[in-house]
Parts: sequence; C-alpha cells; structure tokens
Amino acid sequence: MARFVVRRFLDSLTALVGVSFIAFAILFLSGDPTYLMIPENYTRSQIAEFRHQMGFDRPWYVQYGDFLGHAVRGDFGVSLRSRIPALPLVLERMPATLELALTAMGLSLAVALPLGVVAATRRGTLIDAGSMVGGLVGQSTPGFWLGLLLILFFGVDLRWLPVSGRGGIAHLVLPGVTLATYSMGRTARVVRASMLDALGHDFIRTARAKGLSGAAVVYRHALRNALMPIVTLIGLDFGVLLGGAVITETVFGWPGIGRLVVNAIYEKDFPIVETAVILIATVFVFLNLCVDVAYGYLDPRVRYD
Amino acid sequence: MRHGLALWLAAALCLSIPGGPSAMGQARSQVVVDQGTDVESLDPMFTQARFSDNVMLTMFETLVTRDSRMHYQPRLAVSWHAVSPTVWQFKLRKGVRFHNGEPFTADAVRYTINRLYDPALKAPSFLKGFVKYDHVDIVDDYTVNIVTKEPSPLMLEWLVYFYMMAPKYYSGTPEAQAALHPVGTGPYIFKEWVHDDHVTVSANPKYWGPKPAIQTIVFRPVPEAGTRVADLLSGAADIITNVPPDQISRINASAIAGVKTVEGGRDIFIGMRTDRPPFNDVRVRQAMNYAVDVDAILKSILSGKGRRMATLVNAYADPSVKPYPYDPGKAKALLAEAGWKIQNGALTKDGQPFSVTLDTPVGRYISDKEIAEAAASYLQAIGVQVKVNPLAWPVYSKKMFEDVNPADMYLLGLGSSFDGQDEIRYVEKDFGYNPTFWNNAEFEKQYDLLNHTVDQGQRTRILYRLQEIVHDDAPLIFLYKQTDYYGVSKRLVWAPRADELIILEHASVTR
Repeated sequence: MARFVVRRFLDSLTALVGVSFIAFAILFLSGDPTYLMIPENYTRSQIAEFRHQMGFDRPWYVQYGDFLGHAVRGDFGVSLRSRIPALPLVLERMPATLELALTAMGLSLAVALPLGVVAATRRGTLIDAGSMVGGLVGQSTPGFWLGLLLILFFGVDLRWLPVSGRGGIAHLVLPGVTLATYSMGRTARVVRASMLDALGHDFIRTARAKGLSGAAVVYRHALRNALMPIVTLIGLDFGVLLGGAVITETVFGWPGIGRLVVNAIYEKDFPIVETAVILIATVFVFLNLCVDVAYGYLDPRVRYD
Repeated sequence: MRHGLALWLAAALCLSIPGGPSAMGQARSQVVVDQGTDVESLDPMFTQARFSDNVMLTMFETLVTRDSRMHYQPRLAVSWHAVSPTVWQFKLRKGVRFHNGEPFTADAVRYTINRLYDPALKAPSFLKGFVKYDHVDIVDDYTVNIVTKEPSPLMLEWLVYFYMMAPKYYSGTPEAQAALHPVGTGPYIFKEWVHDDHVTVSANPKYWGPKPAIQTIVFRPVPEAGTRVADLLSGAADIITNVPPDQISRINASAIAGVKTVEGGRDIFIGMRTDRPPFNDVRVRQAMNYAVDVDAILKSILSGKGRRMATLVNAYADPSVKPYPYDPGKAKALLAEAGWKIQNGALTKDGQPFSVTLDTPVGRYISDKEIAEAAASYLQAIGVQVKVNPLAWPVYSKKMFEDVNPADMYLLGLGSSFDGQDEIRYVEKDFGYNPTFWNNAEFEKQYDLLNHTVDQGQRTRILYRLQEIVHDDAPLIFLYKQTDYYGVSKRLVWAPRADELIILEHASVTR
C-alpha cells in the first residue's frame, strides 16, 4: 500500500507540471496580456515600452520557465491585475468553494442515495419510474436557468432567501440546490443501476435464505457492494465541484475559485491561472488517490501490488 | 443523512425571514451598489475602469474634480493657473489629513505623481497618456508647480483621476500590502475587501468637507445582469449598473425601484481599414456613412437611447459639422463615382465584388453585435456584401490592437474624458487603439498644433478644423454616444453622471 501511494505521488508530480505547462501554453496562444492591461489612451511606443517592462516580449516558454522556477520555491508571483500575491488570493477562495461543494454534495447524496436504493428495490413500480424521470429532469436542467428561476421565486417574489453573495447558511440554499440538482439526478441513476447489479448476485440470495431482514440485505450486503462505482462518481463530482462551479458562482455572485479562474483567463492573469490550475490539479490527484485507497477498504479483492 | 438535511433546511428557514440577512441587517444609511465586476485593485495606480473609480473616489481625492455638469472644480487644490505653457501652479487646501493622520501637503502631490512614473512600479495607467510629465517643484507646503516637458493643455483632465496618496504610508509599505489597505483623504475610510464578494467603506468622521449622509457603502460584484436586477427588486441592492435594455420596463413597473439613464461618454463607431481597397477611397468611406440609417438603428435596437454623432467629438463639438444624413441614393452615386457598378445585383469593380468583413466584439458594449448586424444590413441594401464576424473580447482585442490586423471594418466603443482632444485622438495615427491606418497629413499637422496649444480659444478653433477633416475624410462610420442605464432604489436620492461615475458622498436615503 505504502509503495502504491508513493508511486502515485511521484506520478502526480509529473501530471502537475504537465497541466501547468499546457495551461500556460494555451493562455499564450491567443497573445500576451498587454492589451488586456493597458489603458485605452496609450500610444504605440508606450505599449511597446510596457510590454518590455513586464517581460511579455520574451518567448512564452521562457516566461513559463521563469514562473515555474519561482513556483517550486513557493513563490507563485503576484496577480497582474491587482498586484496582490497569487497564492493567498487563490487559497482564500477555497473556503467559499468548499462550503458550496460540501453543501451541494451533501444535498445531492441525501436525496440521491435513498432515491436510488428505493428505485432499485422497487424496480418497475411507479416509484422507480417517477424517481428516474425526476433524476433525468434534474440532470437535464441547465444550472443557469434553474438558478435564475430560484432567485426570482425565492428571492424576489417570496423574499425568503438572499439572492446573491456569500453570508450565512441562508446564502447557501439557492446556489447549493442549483448545484446539487445536476449531480443528484446522475448519482441517483448510478446508485439504482449499481444496486440492481448487486441485488442480482448469489450472495444476496444466500443472505435472504439465511433469513436476514430485507433492510439488512439491502443496506448491509447490497449497498456496500454497490458502492464502488458510486464512490468513483462522488470522487469525480467532488473534484469538479472543488474546481469551481463557474455558472452557479456567476449567477449567484458567489466568490468561489471558478469565477476567479474564469476572470483570470479572460484577463490572461497567468500567475492566478497557473496557481489555481496547480491547486485544482493537486486536489484532483489527491481525491483520485483517496478513491483508489477507498476501493481497498470497500472491496477486499482490490490489491495494490 | 435525513437528519442532516432537516437541520440544514431548518437553519436556512430560520435565517431567511424576509429578505435574508443581507436585506435584514441593512442599516438605514447603508447603501449597496451592485456592479458587474470587482474592483481591479485597491492601489489606485493599478485601476483603470470606472467600476474601480467608483470605489476609489470614496476613499481618495484628487486635486481637481468635475461637477455633475462635467465642469472642473477645486478639491484638494483650491486654485490653479498656468504660469507658462509647461508650468502649472496649484494652491493646496489646508487642514486636510490622510486616514492614517498624515497631513496632506505639497510633499504628497510630489510623491504621488512621482510614484506613478517610478519604472519599478510598472503601472499601466491611463494617466500616462495625458501629459509629458517632468517633475514637481515644491514652492511651499501648500503650493506646487507641476512641470511638463511639453505644453500640457490636458493638465486638469489629467488631475481629475490622479488620486492623492499618503507619502509616508505608501513609501514605507510593500506594494502587495498597499494594494490591500488603501489610505487616502476621502469622505470614506476603507473597511473590508473580500475579493469577488464586496468592498465596504464607512464614513470618515474626520473628513475635512461636508460629512456624507450615507454611513456605509458596500460595492458588490455581481456579474450576471439578471441577478443584479433580482438584487434590486428584492431590496438587497440600491444601485445596479448596466441594466439590460429588456429589463427596463420590469424595473420601472416595480414598487421599489426605477431606471435612471444618462448620456455616457462612450463613442460607438465602425472603423474602416484605409490602407487597402475598398476603403482606401474617401468616396467609398463617405458612401458607407450615407448608407447607414443610424437613427433607425438606435430606435429599433436601443429604444432610441443614444445620441447620433457627427464625428467623435462631444465637448467643443463644431456646430457646423452635421451627422451624415441617411441617403442611400447619394451612397450609390458615390460608389458609382468610385468605379463600383451593380452587376447581377452585386457591386463590382474590375470584376471583383464589394465583399468585406465586419469584426464586432460580443457583450462588450450594449447590444454591440446587434448594432453591427443592423449596420451590415443597411450596407447590404446598397449592394455591399458584408460578413459580420462576432468575436470574444480577448480575441477581438488581440486581432485589433496587438496584431493590428482587423478585418475591413470593425465596431468599437471608446470611452472619452469629456475633452475634445481626448476624443478626436481616436483617429490620430499613433493612437494605440486606432487600427484604421488612416494618415491624413493636414489632420496630423493640426493635431500636433493642438497638442502644443494651451489657450482655449485657439484650441477650440483647431478642434473645429480637426472635426471638419475627420468628418469629410471619414475613416469611420460615425454612430452614436452610448446611453448608460442604472437601476436605482426609490429610497435613494442620487443621480447618475455622464462620466459613468457613481458618487455617493452627496446622496442620501429617505427610509
């Protein structure tokens, strides 16, 4: 196990450098940041002077090497736009992002797990059909549209909940529900399929033959065996959520990492983009590792040789 | 898991009693402003956009300011005069202190201006585009002479956005730290900045001038226009910027808010590449101006909001220079004169069709793509084949200003500072945002003369001449000045300004 974790850790370092390199290259494909930074009243000679001052006239790979050289020493540079150090700027978004991601994930699992289990155990009934259609609708609803609809109903008409920004728990409800709706539908469908598969196995028949109660069979035996694909999905979904939910964050004015990165890409503020990309990639790699390790606990047949 | 959900919902409902915490805790004299974007930085030398100026102007002050009619007024300077074309003398206000207690004196003026030009700061400020600065001479504690390398007719315009900074504080504070904790002399003191969430400022109890009626101002970046409207209608915001035109009637129909409009400072026009056919012929460029019915476009797309422009100039506009009338007959005649004949329903010359591309940004200006499409349809009506090419701003700006290789035509909007020279320079050959390749010797000669003339009477005469040249040689299709829309709570007594600034120090709330 320890060898596996070390090997995966080394692999992930290569992945991180690769990801940061690709992000930098793509960012510079559409030109350097000069014209997104300079004011409208500069003459051409002032523009050239500024480009030189900032070092944007160097080849992009030289600029990348410069960034990476500093980054490995923990210096991620300062935002080109605000002149604030990039690392704290990105890190301070994590609580907001984490808060929204956990809320969405919590809401999604609270609904999807029981729904998927019930749909599987009552296969072919109205409950099954209803929950799966509901899941499909949730999965197909655009977050942008649902978000605005919830805002208009609960924020403007009923005035129950705040419309935008981050604050107390009340601020979390609308973006949380909007973000959870998509993964809720998808997770419920995966839970159902996975449960159906598990319920068809011989050990379930054995468990029933032993005289175990229906609930014990479903929750102790079937659900545990059905968890592998569900955990994979949760890991992936959570990684995506931690990378920021750009649309939900934009609609609700939520100060998460997604909005920060998208704005930074738009402004070619590469220290921010690079820092965020490295951070998000690290989170992804870590979550994948967690999922892989979790397999071992969930399924004794998985070995890490 | 079910218990967890129930707890979340119960907690949410407890906190949601009418309007949620933001509306509930909103003190009487707190005003919330929703803008599309967060402040760029809190170091004023790294801000360029109006949404940042709105925040800066609460905490910082300038030597000279503009009143609501866009006339210059004293602020931290009490008077000024040009000692010579290259030396301006300013008498400073006494008894003013920065928020950290430092006194405001001539030293602060010298420090602030020199800071901008410090190469180590690498500040990409638009202030560097106004005058050729040399140095500041301190005459006494409350008198400074600002010396420039060349005559500086735009001196006052330059100082309108030059925020005075506390010399001891800024010289002794690392740049990254200063960008987070601003110290000015303004009527409000910095309280908090949570990036992409809000900037809060509160009234300065020791302010030298009239104390503001509003105690706290919160600037919130809310990028989605629909959400800003919802904030306004739910009472969570008092001012929202850039109201989408299709939401105006909805806001006006509400009980708590209305839409206020003001003619802004942004010129919208279509540039033409004059370095190659077909627009290297002045008759063709004039024909394009005659062919587009700008008034009809304004009426159909912008509900008639926006002022038709004769050239680019707003301040010191020559009354004898009139907008090109809509006259497709004249346009066709000019094209025929230039050798373009209709063959099989299309304009052709030497066997080549009149086929051009019109680049337009999307979402940068109000209804920009729709305006470009409408203009294109008028050109198509006289036989010009126009392909409209919508581009995202970063792609557009690279093509336009970095590669300096726009399509044959491009739609652009540039903000002006209410000085004729600042507007007419958009077509000056060395101007960084001018990819028309237009190079008119008489224009350049007159522009250079304007650059060196301080006397306002003479300047006005030169500006009139420049407008005639630009109008007749037509490197652009002159369109309109954009109207700005604000959604404003009915409890707020405040009026929008033509310079797009939201100034709340004189505003008040009624309930």
